Formats: sequence, C-alpha cells, structure tokens
Amino acid sequence: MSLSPGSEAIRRRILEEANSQAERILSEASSKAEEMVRVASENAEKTRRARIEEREALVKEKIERQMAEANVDYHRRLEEKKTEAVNRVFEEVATQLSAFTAEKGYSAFLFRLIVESGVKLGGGELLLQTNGQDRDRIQAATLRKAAKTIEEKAKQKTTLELSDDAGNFSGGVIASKLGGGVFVNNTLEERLKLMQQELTKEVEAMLHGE
Amino acid sequence: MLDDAERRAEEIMREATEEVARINARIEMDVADAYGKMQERMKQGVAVHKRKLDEDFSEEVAKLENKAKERTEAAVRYVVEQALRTEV
Repeated sequence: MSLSPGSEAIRRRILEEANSQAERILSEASSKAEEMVRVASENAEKTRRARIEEREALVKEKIERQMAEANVDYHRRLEEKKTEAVNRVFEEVATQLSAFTAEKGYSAFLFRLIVESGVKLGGGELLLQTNGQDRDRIQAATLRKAAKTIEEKAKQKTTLELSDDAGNFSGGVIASKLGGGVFVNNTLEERLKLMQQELTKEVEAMLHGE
Repeated sequence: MLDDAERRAEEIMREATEEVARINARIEMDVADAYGKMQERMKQGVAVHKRKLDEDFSEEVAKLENKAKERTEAAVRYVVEQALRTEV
C-alpha cells in the first residue's frame, strides 16, 4: 500500500522525531551513568586515601610504641647489669669482712666497735652481745679497758657485761643499756648493710663512671 | 524504537550502578592491602631496631663488664676500709 506524499512526509517526520527522542534518551542515560561512575570514583579515592591515612597513623603510633618499649627494655637490662656488678662488690666485701674476723687485726677492731657503741649509748651499765666465738675471745681485762675508755669519752661511769646469748652474726657487737630498750647494732652485717645504703652510688660511679 | 531506547537506557544505568558497587568494594580491598603492607613494613622496622639494640647491648655489656672487672678490686678495698672505720 502506498501512502500519499503528504502522509509519507508525516510518517518520516514521526520516525525522525522518535529517532531523535531515542537518541536523547540514550545520551542522557549515558551522561548520567558516566557522571555516577565519575562521582563514585572521586568519592572512592577520597575515602581510600582517608582510610589509608588513618591506618598509617595507627601503624606509626604502634611502631613508635614498640620502639619506645624496646628502648626502655634496653636501658632496664643495662641497669640490671650495672646493679649486678655493684652487688658483686658488696658480696665480695661481705666475704672479706667475714674472713677478717679470723685475722690478727680483728680483736683491736672489735675493741673499737665496743667503745664506739658504748660512747653512742652515752656509757652507763651496758650489755654486750657478740657471737659465740667473740664471747670466748673477749677477756675481762679487755672489757674493763673498754669500759674505762667509754667512761672517759662519754663522761659517764660505765660497766660492761657480756650477754650469755650468742648472736647469730659473723662479727661485731650489739650494745644495749641494761634495763632499757636503747641499743646500738654494730655487727659486721649491719655495718655492711649501712655501707650498702650509703656507698652504692659511690661504688656505681667507681665501677661505671668515666 | 522508544521502548528499545528505554530498555537500553535502563541497562546503561544498571551497568553504571554495578560499576559503582565494584568501585566501592575495591576501596576495602585496597585499604586492606595497604594496611597489610604497612604492618609488614612495621614488623620489619621494629625487628631491625630490636636487632640493633641487641647488638648495642652485647657491646655495652662487654665494655661495662671489662671496666667493672678492672675496678672491682679497688671498690671492694674502699668499701671494706669504710666498713672497718670506727669513730673512736
């Protein structure tokens, strides 16, 4: 069936319009899709960067913490080694002091310890406790001499009595006022303890200083 | 013809939506991948640092012990002297 020329023109126009509308629909869809993907890509890149930066900060903090812990541990271990060396000195001192009680000069030293303790107590009636070996070693004449020396220094009449109880220490003396709770601990162990308190810093410097 | 165009347009939009989903899913993978690499680098960095500290430690301890060994005798003598010193 053939159309009249007028109808043919109308049909062609309708087809052209439909064609161009179809192209427009496709073009709009393509533009919209491209825009959607572009925006999504941009946002994704921003999100990706932000999240990676966030993780980087976490990792950096973790590294710094672990390294700082390692540094602290390093210094702690080094300090331990230094302390060990200092402790070895005091262990050796303890051994030498203990050995000293068998040496010739010990009796004179014990005499001085008794006098020093008595003077610190201000003289008077004093009880002396020593270990068993020293108790057997101290003679009455030594006690009288020590009492006299204390008396002179403390300006106080003094008597010394040896306790029957032997002390459990390597040497030295514990002196106390008879009938009173005041006492002076002048044992080798106590003196070593005091030395350790007073001289640790000095020994540290002697061993590890420049 | 218009129906075809509408269908094709819907298809284009569906494909775009799928692409957006893929892009978003890739973020997670990229971040996880980057994080994994960072952690690996961190472990290596910390291990190197600790190894260096261990080496320094051995060196320092050797120096320290040598010095202490040379000086121990004098230190012992000094402390013994102090311990035996009395006030009278």
